[in-house]
Amino acid sequence: MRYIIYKLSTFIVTIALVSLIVFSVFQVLPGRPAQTILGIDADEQQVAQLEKELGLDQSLWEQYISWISGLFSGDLGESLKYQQPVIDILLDRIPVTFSLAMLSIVLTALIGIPLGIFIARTDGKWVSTILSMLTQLGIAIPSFWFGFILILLFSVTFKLFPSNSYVPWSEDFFGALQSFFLPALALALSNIAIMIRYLRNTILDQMKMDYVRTAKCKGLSERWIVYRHILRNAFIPILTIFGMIIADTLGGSIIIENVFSLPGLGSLLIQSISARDFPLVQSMVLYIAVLVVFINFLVDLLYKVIDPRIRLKG
Amino acid sequence: MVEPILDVKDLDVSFTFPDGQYKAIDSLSFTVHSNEVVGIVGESGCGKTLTSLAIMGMLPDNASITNGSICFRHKRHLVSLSEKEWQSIRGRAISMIFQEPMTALNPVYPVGKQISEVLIKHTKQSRKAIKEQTIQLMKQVGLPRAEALYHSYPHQLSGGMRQRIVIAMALIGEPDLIIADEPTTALDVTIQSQIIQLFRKLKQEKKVSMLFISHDWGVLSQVCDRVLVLYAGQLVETGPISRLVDEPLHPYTKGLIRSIPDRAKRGEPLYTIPGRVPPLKERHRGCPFYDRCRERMEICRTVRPKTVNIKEQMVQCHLYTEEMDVPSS
Ligand SMILES: Nc1ncnc2c1ncn2[C@@H]1O[C@H](COP(=O)(O)OP(=O)(O)OP(=O)(O)O)[C@@H](O)[C@H]1O
Ligand SMILES: [Mg+2]
Repeated sequence: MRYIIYKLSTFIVTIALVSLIVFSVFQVLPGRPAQTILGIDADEQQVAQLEKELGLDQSLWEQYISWISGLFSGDLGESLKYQQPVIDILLDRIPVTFSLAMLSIVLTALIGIPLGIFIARTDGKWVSTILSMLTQLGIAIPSFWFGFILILLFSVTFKLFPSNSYVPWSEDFFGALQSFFLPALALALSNIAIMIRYLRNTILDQMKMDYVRTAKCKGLSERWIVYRHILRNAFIPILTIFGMIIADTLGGSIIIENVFSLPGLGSLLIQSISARDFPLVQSMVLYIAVLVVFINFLVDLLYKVIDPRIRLKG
Repeated sequence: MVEPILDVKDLDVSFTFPDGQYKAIDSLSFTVHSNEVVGIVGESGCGKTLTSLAIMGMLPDNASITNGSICFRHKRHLVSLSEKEWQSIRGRAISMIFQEPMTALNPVYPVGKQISEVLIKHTKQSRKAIKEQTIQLMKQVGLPRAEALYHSYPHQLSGGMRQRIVIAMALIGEPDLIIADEPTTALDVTIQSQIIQLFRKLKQEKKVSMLFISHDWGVLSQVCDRVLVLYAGQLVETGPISRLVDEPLHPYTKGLIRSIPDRAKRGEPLYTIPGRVPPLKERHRGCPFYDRCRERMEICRTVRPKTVNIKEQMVQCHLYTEEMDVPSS
């Protein structure tokens, strides 16, 4: 219980700091949003008038406070560009990014974990060596490049997947799955490579441990030892790497959404930055930051559930 | 005479290094009989652990058996078995107890399950029967509240309790032979004597046969019937433990006995044999102990001594010849 309270308070402090940083950064950025809305032709008086309407003439501290108190009441302000409540815009976009990220993470787990185990168990054989070399490539190549390759291969050449027609889940389940599959795969490939290498190294390290020797002395098969003994110990490192992969996926989706023209948070972020739509950008950055911190918080809690050594110490 | 459970003959174990092959175990022969506890003693690096790993078929990748045979229950040759055949032997026919009970156990697996999986692997009983049998055995090795302990993790137990778990793990398959590699070295003195009592009890009640590795003559004399003195991978002397302690023949055994801490000589500096065990690559063809021997002769440098029987003892040293042999009747 103490552990949870401790983790929870770190979580809250981190969020508070993040919100402060996010807010300050956008004050420092050059350019006046009111000017952007009104266009270059607007004179100083009109700009000042609009700033007053938007509350941009208040002191920074007042602006921060009203932003934060808005956050608590679900009012994230109004987008300058879309003239719409930020919350509505976000709610519109979040499912797209969420689906993309989830699918990508599921793909990473489904492909990365079995392959990692396979490579570790065939260590030293040529299959293992070739796969290891491929993972080097997977890590080195950026995801947007994978994106282009996949579009070229599956959409242009084989015409198996659409390249830029987004279908929402509510319209057509398989259509949606199709439109998410390629971007999710592009996003997953380097994470799969990281997962494989990491899992392989973890398993090979564990194989040198004394408890594995004990298990062998009991006459257990290698398969049993890997699945019942080593993976239990590898679970905690795997969880850590998953926390990192999730954060990475959120960042990566910004680019991939633009490559595949998916109307998610990533493409929105880029558009709203160029439009100097500060309320929107601020809320989005904060949202992403909170999500990353929250995932880390969850990972910490999961450690506690999974690792008996932490579970009983707290 | 009764057939031995374990019969090791002329065993050579060699390491392959980039610059060649080096013998770490050199023509080792010994037997273990039913309900007999045979000790192995020798300084660090003499090949005690290597001997037990060879018997378990778990030599490191760069080591292999290059000569000799290991017969188990006089029929199975424990050399050149397939991995599957080894798996059916380990834990069931031969099991092993390790020195460090903390690292020998899986830290994130309940200890009871670590014991019972031996039976899951080797028998076809129901899970419930296996669990009952495990708890029964946990009680027999002196673990209190075995039902609750079954679900505990290693870090929740004391060192002594962990070693009892490891011992239960080695016993549960009811093996014909147990190899214990310094099972008490990592424990503090009181726990050590409790564990020794447990071994004595197991020998009497369960009639176990054991190969018991230790540095400690005090421990050896409490549990062993016979002791093998190993030096640089060779057997230099063997005999009943009491004979070796009272009347060691080989200069190496004499040195080991002299270096036992003695209450009567408190305050005096502890005797140690000068020098060290020669590393694998510096072993020559004469007597392995030549460099450090106080009673060496010219012949020892070049000629490997033969094994000589003297009463119940066997010694490999040029100081003794067969003529001195007094046949024991
Ligand atoms: N994996 C290995 N690679 C190379 N040499 C090794 C390896 N394992 C053991 N040796 C060598 O083999 C010899 C015997 O080692 P072994 O571990 O059997 O000694 P030991 O008698 O058990 O010593 P200790 O009392 O320290 O446990 C030593 O000289 C050691 O250096
Ligand atoms: Mg050893």
